Amino acid sequence: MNSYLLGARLAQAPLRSYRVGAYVGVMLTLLSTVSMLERGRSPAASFDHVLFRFVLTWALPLTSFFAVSDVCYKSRLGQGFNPIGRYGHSKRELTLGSLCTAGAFSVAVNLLFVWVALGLTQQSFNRTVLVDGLTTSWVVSLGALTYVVWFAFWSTLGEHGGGRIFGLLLDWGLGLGGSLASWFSPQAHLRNLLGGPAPGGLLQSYSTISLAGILVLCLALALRRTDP
Amino acid sequence: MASFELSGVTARGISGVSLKGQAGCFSVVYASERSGEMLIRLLAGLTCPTRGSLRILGKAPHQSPALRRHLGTLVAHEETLPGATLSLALKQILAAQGNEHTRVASILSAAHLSESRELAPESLSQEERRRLALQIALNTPAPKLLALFEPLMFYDAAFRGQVLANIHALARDVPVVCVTSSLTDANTIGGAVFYLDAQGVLSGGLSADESRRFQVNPSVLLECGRPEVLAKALSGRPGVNEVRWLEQQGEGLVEVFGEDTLALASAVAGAAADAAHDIKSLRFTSGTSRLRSSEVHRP
Repeated sequence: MNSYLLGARLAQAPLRSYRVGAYVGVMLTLLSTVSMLERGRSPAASFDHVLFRFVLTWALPLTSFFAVSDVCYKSRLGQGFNPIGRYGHSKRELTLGSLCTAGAFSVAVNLLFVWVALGLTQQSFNRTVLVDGLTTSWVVSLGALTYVVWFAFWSTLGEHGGGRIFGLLLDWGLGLGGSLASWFSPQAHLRNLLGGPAPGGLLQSYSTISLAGILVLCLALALRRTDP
Repeated sequence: MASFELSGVTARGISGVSLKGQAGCFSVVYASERSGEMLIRLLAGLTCPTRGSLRILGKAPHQSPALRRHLGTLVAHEETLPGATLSLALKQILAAQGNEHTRVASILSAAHLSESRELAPESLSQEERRRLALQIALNTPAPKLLALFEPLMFYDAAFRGQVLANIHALARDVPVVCVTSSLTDANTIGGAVFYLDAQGVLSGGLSADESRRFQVNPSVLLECGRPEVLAKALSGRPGVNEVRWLEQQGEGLVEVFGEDTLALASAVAGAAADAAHDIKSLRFTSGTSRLRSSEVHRP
């Protein structure tokens, strides 16, 4: 088995733990509560409110954060693969494989959150709601992947990958504003793509390109900073 | 060209270490476990030097997975191998090394772990993990270097003898770097002996008189319920030079000094079994007393 596939397979074990199941369960409970409250308060805008106040702010970054933290074995990116990397597997390839698993996990869980929120906030399903759901799904999928590599890059900083927490705080700190500085945070671009304030007045199409740019740049830097 | 060469290597616990050589045994006696552990991690490619260069056949081990396939390594704290069962984990490792000639069963048998082949790797004790890692290291295909941390620190004398014979056989063709706290073990292994002091500075080629000041008299600090009973059971055992104990607020501490880590470990195991004693924790220290209190007793 090559190192990419092995990394992807090894990353499945920490993501199948009871702790991860409990996290998803807690998030779904909170999401359902918030969705029901918002639906009672303003039925027309409830989905947007849930999306901005819960999914984008909390669920999306935290799910990716925990997924990366788990596939890094709570350590610096690549170091968790020392027990197998020392026998000749490339730690860089193992890491890339594990990030693919973390990305797939984060996309799947966040899509579940989006569709549960949509189901709980809408009175009836019609074509508009479906299009809204699909549009949100691709933005959230792109966001989940970007967050995974964003945290992967920050996991290369600090002896035990402690930079991850800095990455999370930076994203929250910069992303919730609409200034030019927020260009560096995935949060700001995701908000722009879903109709929120644009970072530095950026067009939505530029936010898509920016997100893709952050994804490629963070992935390249994360792998560059991981030993082969 | 030297098979391996460290020039001015600096890392946490290591300061400007230079060492090079070809086939043969190289024993490094360390004063601080942190330094010894770091030296092995550097040679195994698990970490990289902050300064200086480390080359094995011209390549940096942390940068070369192809080289790591041919490095036999035993580190201080063996982590859990990934895999559902021990035999699957081992199969994965042999495949990574491109080792098609060695059978999983023969490595498990040599590590005295044949019975554990279907167990989860995390269920192994640290001693079992080290036995397994050592057997993997000794069976490395076309080895370029062996870097072994405390390769003789095992309870079973027959196992130690077998390991020693394997090390000597391999050292005819490849460099074998053994890192140990025991001058006795270093002399048993033979070859060139070097000393890694508490500041992480390496020196070698010293006379016997000069080398004595580097000798570390190891000690063990034990946390237990009835320290006086355990201290009595320990005193007078072979390999034990001094025993001190104290009891404070229901907590008992026993400190044992000796000349050899393995002898101390055997003495503690024997005393604990004889006195049916419950030891809560055990920590190997480096010969300096950790018990500063005036309440210290001797049996």
